[in-house]
Amino acid sequence: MAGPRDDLKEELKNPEFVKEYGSEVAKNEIGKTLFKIRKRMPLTQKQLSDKLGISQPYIAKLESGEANPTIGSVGEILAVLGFILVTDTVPMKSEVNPTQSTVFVNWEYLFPPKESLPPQAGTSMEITIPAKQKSKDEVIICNAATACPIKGGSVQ
Amino acid sequence: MRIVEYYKRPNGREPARDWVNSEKNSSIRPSFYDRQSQLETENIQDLIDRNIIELIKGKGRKTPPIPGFYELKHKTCKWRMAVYHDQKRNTVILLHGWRKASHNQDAEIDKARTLLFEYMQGGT
Repeated sequence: MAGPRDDLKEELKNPEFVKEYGSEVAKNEIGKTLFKIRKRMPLTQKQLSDKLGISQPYIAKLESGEANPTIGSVGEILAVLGFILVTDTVPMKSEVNPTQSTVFVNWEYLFPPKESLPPQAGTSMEITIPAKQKSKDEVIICNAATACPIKGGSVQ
Repeated sequence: MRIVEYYKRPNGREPARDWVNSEKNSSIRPSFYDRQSQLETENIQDLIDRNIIELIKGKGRKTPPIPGFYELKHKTCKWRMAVYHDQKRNTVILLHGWRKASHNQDAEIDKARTLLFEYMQGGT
């Protein structure tokens, strides 16, 4: 049975759709980030709006991923909250493996300069972490460009 | 991570999917797929707090809301979709979508409620 994920895979073949979808995902990511920071502080939307000098409905719109703020205004909001924006990108995919999550880390974190780098070394690498992972030995290291597991890769 | 799927009626129709496919407006489809991705990965309470989903009120004043029966929202694009979070199956069922207007909200939710009862009685 085809689900929304399968439909999305088809939609991503349309360049116009891809642009709109990318925009939605970016707005949502900003909203999610602001929401998490606000919760961590913790502040209500009203308290945050007073602190920032912007309206509470606009905070709500930002958090729900429906506002389209400029990068500069996002930077301003985060700065007032004591944060700076650090961006990263991941390949656009329609499939999400329900048993894995992915993070990107710097090569040097995993392989300090003294050690030799694996043959397919790049500037960054992808670590695929099984959701039910019980120990760090089960971490699979993949080449970021090819997503191929690197033989013998492990996190020390 | 939870599964998100379209509700399939005994007659084979998938109302939520039919609605998405019928929407040619480019801003509705991308926003829908982004929202459904969040249903897969995000904490339900966080989605409520961010006003992305909202528990649908019971029919009439005396009827309590049905736990797990939510409205997935996108205010800017003015669409809504009724969904059901089936906790036992760790699945969100997409029941029925519509373009929001002041006059149609109750009628569309009634349609969704009918589909939910059908699902609860053994639909897929």
